[in-house]
Amino acid sequence: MFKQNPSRFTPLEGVAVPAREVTVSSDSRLWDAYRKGSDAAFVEIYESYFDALYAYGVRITGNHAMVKDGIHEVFFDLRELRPKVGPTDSIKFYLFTCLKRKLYRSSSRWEGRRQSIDPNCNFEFSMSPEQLLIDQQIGEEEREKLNRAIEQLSPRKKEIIYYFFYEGLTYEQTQEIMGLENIKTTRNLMYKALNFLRDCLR
Amino acid sequence: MLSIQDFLTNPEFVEWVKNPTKQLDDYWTKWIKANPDQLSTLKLAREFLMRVQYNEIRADEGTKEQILTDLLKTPSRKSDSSSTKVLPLAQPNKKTNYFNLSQLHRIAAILILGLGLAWLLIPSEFFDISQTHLDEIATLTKFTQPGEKLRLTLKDGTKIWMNAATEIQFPERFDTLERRIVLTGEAYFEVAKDSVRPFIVETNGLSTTALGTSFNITTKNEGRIYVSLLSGKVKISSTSDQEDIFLDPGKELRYSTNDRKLQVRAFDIDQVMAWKEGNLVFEDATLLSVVKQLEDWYGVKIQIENGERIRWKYSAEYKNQTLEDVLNSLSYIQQFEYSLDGKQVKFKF
Repeated sequence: MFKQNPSRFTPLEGVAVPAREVTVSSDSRLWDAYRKGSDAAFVEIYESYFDALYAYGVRITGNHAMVKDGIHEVFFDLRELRPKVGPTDSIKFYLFTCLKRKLYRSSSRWEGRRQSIDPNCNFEFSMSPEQLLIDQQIGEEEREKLNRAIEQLSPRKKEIIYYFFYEGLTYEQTQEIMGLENIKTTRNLMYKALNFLRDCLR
Repeated sequence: MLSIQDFLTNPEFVEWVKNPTKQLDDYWTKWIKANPDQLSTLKLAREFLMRVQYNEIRADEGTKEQILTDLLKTPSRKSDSSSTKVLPLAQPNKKTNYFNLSQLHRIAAILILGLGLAWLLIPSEFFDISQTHLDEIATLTKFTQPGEKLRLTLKDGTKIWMNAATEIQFPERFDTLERRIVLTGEAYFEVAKDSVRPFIVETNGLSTTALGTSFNITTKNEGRIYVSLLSGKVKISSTSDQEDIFLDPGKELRYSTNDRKLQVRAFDIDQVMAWKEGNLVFEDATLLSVVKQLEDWYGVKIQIENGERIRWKYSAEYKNQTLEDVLNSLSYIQQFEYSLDGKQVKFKF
């Protein structure tokens, strides 16, 4: 998702790039259609979110078979228990939360079979070596330094960075999915997770 | 001066770098004009964020289609839910026959047979694996005797304080979509936040829905249900066709189960929550309601002699006092005699 075409970025000075259209609450509309009984909407939701859900599940568990079962169960429930499903304005967050819960529940079942959930969630990331900007400031040396620092981050810090940078979750959503106490602790954890930047960049 | 972290913890900065919109562009262009000295930090933050890369994780070819096909051919849940659940061990992709299975598959097949037999012979608690998500989930019941209080924490983290003579029914584990419990008596709830699964308390035709709040519900007053909200927001719906009611903190809903009338009013937190702190509170209470409260609180039986014409509006507060202390004070103020014999109390007027 982040290996994107540099042209999508707005230059800081000069001509403005055509902005993306803001589709306000298209999520709510699709979701409501599904809740009202539309199977087409159900399939559209499945098609749109499967890849993101799958990748997220594997990052949490490191276990493809478990994730397949988990996604099956999540959508099975959504289809069978439709009347009970509440509204949402973020389908992705809704599905992520459901899947995480399923996976944690089944992980306790799996532990009996000595295949426990991955304790070091795989939220690894690194600094892309690509030339992204004309006036770039992060050289090869800094990049390597950053990559070494990133490897040292605790799993929890990697996880919050993933939600915030990669999935674009809000602080409220991040707080909830990570089971943190309040928004303030969530912000603080994010801030601390980025402490390494102070030492690596200047 | 803002640090690079300040930029990177700002949702609107991250959104602008990842998915710029006209609105965000406008804002940040103007921001830079106003803060030219911070441009280099901003650029550094932006470059860092652009360089963050994650390895791609994809399902095997066909997985997405396979699961969807399974989902769409699933009949309704009543017909047969067990056939739709794929046990991780047994997931045959092709039609196979025992005799041309590889050695590994034979072992697996034997194991599965063995597990199956064990499943028949061993009490089911041993086999959590056999629980599929749509199996009947056991309902647990917690109750307190008169004179007893109980605090419990549900698996989702919700805390419940149960007053005396109260019963709560809840599923062994909540499903993915809601958390529903049934209450008779009185309890105070601190609901764990979960915006996806509302927490619903059912009380005799009234359901109170919360997402993450604290509130008190009591059905202890004959024919009435009181829902008192301390923080957050709750939605209350009755089984009759009335519209839903949203309560604000500090407000209490009083519902009459007989005529289904409801009324919202402010309430006194100290009084409503007194029981949780061990304080017995009466507010303009009639004789019958005092008797009922004492019976629940101390776990006694109270008999009344010649009480037909007694009209009380009794108000008092007792902090962690013994039954005897309360009876002494009460009988002195209301001018009657009482006798106390074990769990039997008599009021003589």
